[in-house]
Amino acid sequence: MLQEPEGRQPMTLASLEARADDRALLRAVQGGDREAFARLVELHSPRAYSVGMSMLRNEQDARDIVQQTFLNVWRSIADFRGEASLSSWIGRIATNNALMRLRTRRRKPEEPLPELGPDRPEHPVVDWAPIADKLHENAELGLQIQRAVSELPEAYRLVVVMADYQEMSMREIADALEISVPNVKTRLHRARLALRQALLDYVHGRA
Amino acid sequence: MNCEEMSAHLIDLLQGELPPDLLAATRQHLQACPCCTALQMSFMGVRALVHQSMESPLTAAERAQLAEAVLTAISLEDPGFGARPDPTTRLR
Repeated sequence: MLQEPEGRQPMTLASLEARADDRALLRAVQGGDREAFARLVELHSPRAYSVGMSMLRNEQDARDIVQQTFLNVWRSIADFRGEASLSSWIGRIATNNALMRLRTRRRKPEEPLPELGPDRPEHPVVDWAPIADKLHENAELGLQIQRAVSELPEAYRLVVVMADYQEMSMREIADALEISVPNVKTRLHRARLALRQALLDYVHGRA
Repeated sequence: MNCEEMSAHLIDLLQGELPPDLLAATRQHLQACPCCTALQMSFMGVRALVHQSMESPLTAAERAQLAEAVLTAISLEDPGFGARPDPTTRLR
């Protein structure tokens, strides 16, 4: 496994191969190959759907985001130079589309940031070990974290999706949400504490 | 560096955005502080789990169905679909 900078998801051989496949696909689509575009949609629609679903929490909205995203992709792919991976680029377009939909939907000023609990966990050492052992083998934990993310207040949920799934930088998230970088960090810190607590509750049978 | 300062830098550390001059101090603190190390490990676990849980939300059949719907919608909205994208219609 190749090493990425600290904090980023590790780069695997599979991800390198995926990038090479993406480059070939990209060249074909930029050449006007409709079949290649269909393949691109099939390969990358899950990411756009995931972004839409996690940000908007509604299946139909998520499907609409997928459609809008690939319409945007089709129209702008000639300009895409491949600085980011196709997957990241498509994810960003989906994120922007979801944010636009949220802003359109919002008819009143944003509410104050809801409280999520203390900024330091009460017992950070004692509780985490049972979860660490199960992280990579328990699909149920994945469902629990999806539920916990979905139940986060919007202000926190968006930051988690952008940071932990989209791997956007703090500055990119701040710009997208039109908030300060320290505010992004505060939200992410609190959101992770809340998600951590949700997992602990689940593992200890208190959920 | 104390635990409060470490807590303030934890997000930057995990995102790979910590300024280089703080890297040694945070690592030194983590080596000496089991509480902050546990918090760091749990945050890394949460982040990995969030990423992993969002990776494959669709079955192959759902994916194919969604792709078909997308291509149909694009065909309806963009008569030029199937030809090279028109540079004048590119999004900025």
